[in-house]
Parts: sequence; C-alpha cells; structure tokens
Amino acid sequence: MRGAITVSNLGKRYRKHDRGRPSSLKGRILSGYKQQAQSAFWGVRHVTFSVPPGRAVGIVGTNGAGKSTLLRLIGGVGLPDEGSVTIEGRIGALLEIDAGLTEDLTGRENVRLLGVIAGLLRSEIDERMDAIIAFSELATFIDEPVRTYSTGMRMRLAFSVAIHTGPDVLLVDEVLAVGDQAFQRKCIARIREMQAGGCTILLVSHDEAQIRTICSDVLFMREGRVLAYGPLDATMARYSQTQAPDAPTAPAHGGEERGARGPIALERIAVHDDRGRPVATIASGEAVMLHAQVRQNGLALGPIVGFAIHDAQGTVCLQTNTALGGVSLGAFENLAVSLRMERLDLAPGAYTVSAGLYSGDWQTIFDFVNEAARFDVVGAQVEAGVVAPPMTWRTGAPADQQHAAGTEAAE
Amino acid sequence: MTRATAASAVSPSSPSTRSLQQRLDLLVQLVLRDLKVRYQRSLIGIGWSLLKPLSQLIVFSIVFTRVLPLNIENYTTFVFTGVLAWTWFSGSMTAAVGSVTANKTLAMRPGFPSVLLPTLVVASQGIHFVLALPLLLLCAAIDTGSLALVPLLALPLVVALQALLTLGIAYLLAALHVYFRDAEHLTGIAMMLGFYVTPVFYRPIPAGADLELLTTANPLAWLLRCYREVLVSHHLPPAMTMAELLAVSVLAFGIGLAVFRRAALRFDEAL
Repeated sequence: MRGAITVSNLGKRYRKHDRGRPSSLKGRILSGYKQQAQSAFWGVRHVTFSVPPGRAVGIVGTNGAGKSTLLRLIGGVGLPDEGSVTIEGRIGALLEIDAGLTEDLTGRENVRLLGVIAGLLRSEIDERMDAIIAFSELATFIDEPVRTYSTGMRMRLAFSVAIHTGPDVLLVDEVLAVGDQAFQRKCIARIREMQAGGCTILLVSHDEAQIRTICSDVLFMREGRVLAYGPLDATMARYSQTQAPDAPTAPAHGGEERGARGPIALERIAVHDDRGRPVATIASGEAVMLHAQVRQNGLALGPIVGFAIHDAQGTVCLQTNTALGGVSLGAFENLAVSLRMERLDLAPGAYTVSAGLYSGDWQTIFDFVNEAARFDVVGAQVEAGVVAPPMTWRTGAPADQQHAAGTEAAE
Repeated sequence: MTRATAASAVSPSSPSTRSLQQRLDLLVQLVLRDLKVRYQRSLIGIGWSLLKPLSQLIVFSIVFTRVLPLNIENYTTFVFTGVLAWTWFSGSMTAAVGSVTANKTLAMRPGFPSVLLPTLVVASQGIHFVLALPLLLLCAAIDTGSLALVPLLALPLVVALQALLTLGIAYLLAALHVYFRDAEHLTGIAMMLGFYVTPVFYRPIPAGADLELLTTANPLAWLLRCYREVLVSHHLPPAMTMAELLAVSVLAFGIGLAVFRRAALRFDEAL
C-alpha cells in the first residue's frame, strides 16, 4: 500500500575515522590502517517499527539520539549495516534548512530545480508553478535571486515545493522551526491536509507543541535505539520524564505534574540562538537567549524571574534576574520571559541553565528548576577558565626600549 | 549481521519511461543551473568558455609556427582540435573530482541519484565543447581549404566515445574524492602532466620512436588522432583506433559507473 513504511531491525554503523577528519595522503602514510576496525559506533541499531499509510509520527529524542540518521536511512540515503527499510511510493523530504537552493538563481528557477530534484517532471512543475508561488507568498520576490532572500523566505520556498510534489511519504527534520508564526501555522495546516489525503508523515522536532498538533503517534529514540513507540500522550509522557534535564528545549517537568504543584510555575525553560531556534551548542561569543514561560492563576503580582548559568564544576558563571534588569512582570496568566545576551563569552565546555521564580519582595520562592537546560560552548582559544572574551595577542619591542630608541632618534 | 540492500528496496520499482524522463529533466535542469550560475552575471556570458582555448590557440600557433617551428601541416587546425578536445577532458576531470563533495546537500538528499553530479559536470563541459565546434569547423575549412562531408559524419561518434571515456573516469574520481581528499590535488597534477604527455600541440610520437608508448598507449592520443583524421586530413578515422577507443571507453564507463554506484551507498558516512 502506498505510503506504508516498514523498518525492521535497522542498524547503521559509523566508523570513527570517517568522521570529522577527511582521510588524506599524509594521514594514511603516518597512521597506516591501524585504527580502522576498533572505533565504530552505531548511529542507530535494532530499530523496528512500521507506519501505516496516512499516519503522522513524531520522532523525539535528545541531540545525537539518531533521529536524523533514521530519517536519512528511511529516505534511502546510505546503506544500512543491518536490517532493512521498505517504503511504498514516492518520498518527499525536507531535511536541511537550505534545502539545496541555489543562491544566484531566481526564486522561480529554484522552484524548477527543487521540483525536478524532488522527482517531478519539468512539465509537472510548470503546471504547479502558480500554486507553489501562491502558497509561498513570495509572488513579489519570485523573480529576484535567492541570495536576496531571508532564511524564512528560503524555507517558505523550499517548503512550498516539497508539499506540492505530491509525496506518499513526507520526511521533515526540524525545519518547521524557521519562518514566522503565521506561515508555520499554514505549513502545519497543509501537512495535516496532506495527511488526511493519505500521505504518511515522519516529523523530527524538538517542539513538543508542534508534535502534539501534527502527530498521532510518537517514536522516542535514545542513543540510536527506540525507547518507546506508541500513541502520542503515553509516549510523550515517557519522553518528558526520561529526558527532562537533558534537552535544552524540554519542558521543566512533565506538564501534569507541574499543574498540581502550585498556583505559579516555570515552564519550557530553553536555550535559543539569536533567531529563536533551540540550540544545544553555541559558539563562544555568539548571541544567546534564555527562555522561560511563567504560568500562574493571576494571583502573584510582579514576580521576579532569575536565570543562572553554571559550568560543569558547579561554578556560577552568571546569575541575574528581572528585578536587576529593571523589568517588572506585572499581572498575567501566561508570560514568556527571555534574556538575550549579545555575546556569551564563555570558555568551551558544558553548561547548565537553572531558573527561579520569586515573589516581588524575595520572600517566597515560587519555583526553582535546577539544571533545566544544558548547552555546550565550542570554539575560543582558551586553555582553562570560565571566560573567553575576544582576544588578540601582540608582540613587539618592550615599551621602555621603544622609548629609549625614540629619545635617541630625537637627539 | 545481515547486509540488507536497503537501497534496492527503497528505489522505485523499475525504470519506467517516466523515471527515465525524470532523470533527463533533472540532468537538463542541473546543467542549466550550472551554466546560469557561471555566466549570467558576466558580460560576455558563455563566450568566456571560448576565450581560454582561443587564447591558447593563438599562443601555440604563433610559438610553434614562428618561434620554434614544428613544421606540422595546417598547424592551426591541428592544435585547435587538440586544445578543444583536451579542454573538455581536463575541464571535466578537474570539476568532476569534487562534484560529490561540493554538493553534499544534494548527494545526501533522499531520492537524488548522486551519479548525476559527475555526469552533469561532463555534460556541461561537453556543451562548451559542442558550442566551440562550429568555430573549429570554420577554422578547418579556412585553414585546409575544404571540408570532406563523409568523414564529418564520423565526428559525432568520436565525440560520443570521448563522452563515454570522460564519464567513466569522472565517476571514478568523484567517488574516490569522497574518501580520499587528496584526489583533487592529484587530479590537478595529472591533468597538467597529461597535457604534455598527450600530443595536444606536438606531433604524435611515431611507433618505434623513443617514448612511443606516450602516444600509442594513450587513449586520449587515439581520440585526438581520430579528430584530426577527420578535420585535418579529411579521412574517416582509422577503424582499428576507433575499435580500440570503443573498447577502452565502454570499459572505463562500465567500471566507473559500477564503482561509483557501489561507493555511493556509503557516501553518507564520509560526507
């Protein structure tokens, strides 16, 4: 039946020497072939599940759980080392943000290109061109080169093509996070429509709300294995429980559990990049946003929200709050609070984010979530320590000698 | 451990006319992209592709008729033929070697036949060659005083053989480069040496002479010989050379394609 996916005992092994360092002549000669066999790891293993046509399955798990690898294998990219994947019908995929757009071509030319890449004939694309452009809402820019487009516009173009190719199976990896809210809603509506028309959807996302909107089933992965596969609510509950402190976008606690705890609580504590996308890895010196949502029944007036960043040794690297920032929260029921940092000049390493919620007079701790999110900082030439400000080394003659030389010259 | 050939399970059931048409459309669109990206923002557009061989032609025809006379009859046509055919071959090699690695997103896309990446490079360089052919014919007509029709009919066959040979090696290099990044630099050197080893601007080394193998065992020298028989001497290309070329080209194409297909199954691990 078209749209059915059967995955049985799927396994994919990666050899360590293949990753990161491309093999070079020098490397081969120096190291011989010694390291070849020893270091291999399984990107995914023992993965077995099947999806009937027309179902939408969300795939959740922490970064590195094998979600993207699984999606690629299902898409037929790469040869599995164990097991097999069977797909009935045509596959549509949105796996990369840039989605293979060509900078120097116009939007229209890119639609043509993406269409044939997605498996359409040129005649079929010409028939659908108007519908694609209309859906993307890019009619006024469609004959401009894509290099002038914003990230959101690119995504809109790529997405519009992907959903107009009439796939039987649609694979979506994390890309729906781009674009404005209105367009996201439109995409989600369209995905549901396609699903109603019999298209099978596999969606990898860190956004629980999105998964809840689109999917009826959830596949929960960890370290390349399937931990749970089943109906949305049951599986999401297991996911939230097991990985709460691990993922930067995870809700602070399981939803139900929180509701019982008090009239006011912190939720959805997360680390985002400058464009508002959840991140787990940050380059030192990049802009970062810490997010939290405060939910209350409207009783507490003017509470204070605080964030703290700790390093792996437990040292406080930063602690601040809305009162220090001169922000008053007032009265509300649901409120999103975010702290934007222009630059996060931290040394490379693993960090955690904790968040607290206090009464305006600091007398009551409404909520405190320890290690609510984690992130890694990479880059920066720091040997040890916590901070990594922008640095420049200079060398030259010592200052006193310069002075002496100067006086001599003057005489 | 079972090694399931998941790729065969995933790919469309059988190559129907639609999927053939689709592949062709895909290739056309990719070649168009290649040409547009390269030329649409430049002043004389695709004319640039002619300027390099033309300037080489001018240098060679001045140097080797006046400065160091080689005494080759119709030298302009002789060297123009060599330069054009060599440019197609070496241009394809240099661009094909990185064609998969430079298009990681495409190569890793579900359903995208990555074999099209080197193919498109050879096709796009081939278009440059074909666009320059009228100039070459004109040059031959003026230089040699005539063009013989019957031998010209063999020209498409020679072009086809060069395409086949070039594709075969392009597949090998593109697949190799994914696992072995030095292939790019080695290709550059090989093309530089190949230019001097192949009789592009000098007379083919006759059998029995010193270093004769450089010509007699070099499929590109065979190719040039066929082109020159047609354009300079107005004869049909020698049947024996054509047969040898056919054998080598088909073999290279077959091996190249098979190796690429096999390697492509594991591109995801190295890209």
